[in-house]
Amino acid sequence: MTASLRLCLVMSIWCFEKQCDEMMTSIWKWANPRKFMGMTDKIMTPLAVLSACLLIVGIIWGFFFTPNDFRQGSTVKIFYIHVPAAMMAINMWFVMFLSSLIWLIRRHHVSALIAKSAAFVGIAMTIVALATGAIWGKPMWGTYWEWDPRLTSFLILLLFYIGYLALWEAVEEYEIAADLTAVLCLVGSVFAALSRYAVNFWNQGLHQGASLSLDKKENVADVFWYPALVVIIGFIFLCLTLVLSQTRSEIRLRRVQAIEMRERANSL
Amino acid sequence: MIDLGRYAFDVYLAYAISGLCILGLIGVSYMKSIRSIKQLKEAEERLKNESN
Repeated sequence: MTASLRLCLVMSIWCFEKQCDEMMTSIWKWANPRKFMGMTDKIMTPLAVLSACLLIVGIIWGFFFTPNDFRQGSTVKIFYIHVPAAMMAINMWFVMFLSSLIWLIRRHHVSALIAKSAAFVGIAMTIVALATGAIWGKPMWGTYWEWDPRLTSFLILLLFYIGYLALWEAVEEYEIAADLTAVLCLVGSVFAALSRYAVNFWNQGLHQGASLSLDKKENVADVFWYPALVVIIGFIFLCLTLVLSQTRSEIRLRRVQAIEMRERANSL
Repeated sequence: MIDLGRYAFDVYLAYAISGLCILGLIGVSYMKSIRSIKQLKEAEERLKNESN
C-alpha cells in the first residue's frame, strides 16, 4: 500500500514537472522575435478595439451617469482618469521589472525591448496621473502641489522613467544599454513599490488613502466603482496594446540596424 | 449637457489634458509603427537587391 502510494506520488511529481517544463518552453517561444511578431499580429486589432470600447463605455458611464460626491462635488469625475492612470504608471514599472529580470537572467532580446516599450507607456501614464492629481488637488486642497510623501514618491517615479529612457538613448551599444537600464529598473522598483503602497501606509500629508480596496467597507461606493472598473480594464488593454505595438516597432528597428550593420561590413 | 457646477473648468481641464496625453501616446506609437515598417521594407529591399 505504502509502496503504491509512493509510486503515485513520484508519478504525480514527474507529471507536474513535465507540465511545468512544457509550459515554460511555450512561454520562452515568445522570446523568439519572429514568433512574437506572428502571435502579436493576430491579437493587436482585437485588443485595440476592446480597449477603445471599454474606455468609451466606462468614461461615458462615469462622466454622465454617476452622481457627484457629497463632499468633492463634480471633481469626483476626475477619479475615472486619475486612479487608472496611476495604477498603470506603477504597473508599467512592474512589467519593466519582470522584463528586465528576464533579460538579465535569460538574455532574451524581446524582454529588453518590452521593458523599453513599457517605459514609454508608463511615462505617459505617470504624467496623466500627476497632472490630473494636481488639477483635482487645487479645488480640494487649495494647491496644485504639496511635498506630500505620496505625491513626492510619484514625482520620483516620473524622474526614474525619464532617467530610464534617457539611458536607453544615451548608450549606443544595444546590449550595454539593455544591461544598464535593467539595473536602473531594478533599483527604481523600490520607488515604484513605494509609490504603490504610499497611499496605504503614509497617513500624513494631503493625499487621501487608497480609494480602491478588496475590503468592501474600504472601497468606494459601488456607483463609482463599477464604471471605474470598466475604465481600469480599458486602461489595462490600452497599455497592453501600446506596449505590444511599441515592442513590434522596436523589433523591426533592431532588424533594420542588423541589416545596416551587415551592409557596412560588406562595404569594408 | 451635464452640470458640473463650480468645478466644471477643473474637470474639463483634467479630461482635456489626459485625452491629449493618451491620444499623443497613441499617435506617436502609430507613427513609430508606420516608420519602422517602412524602414524595414526599404532595408529588406536593399538586402534582396544586394543578394541578386
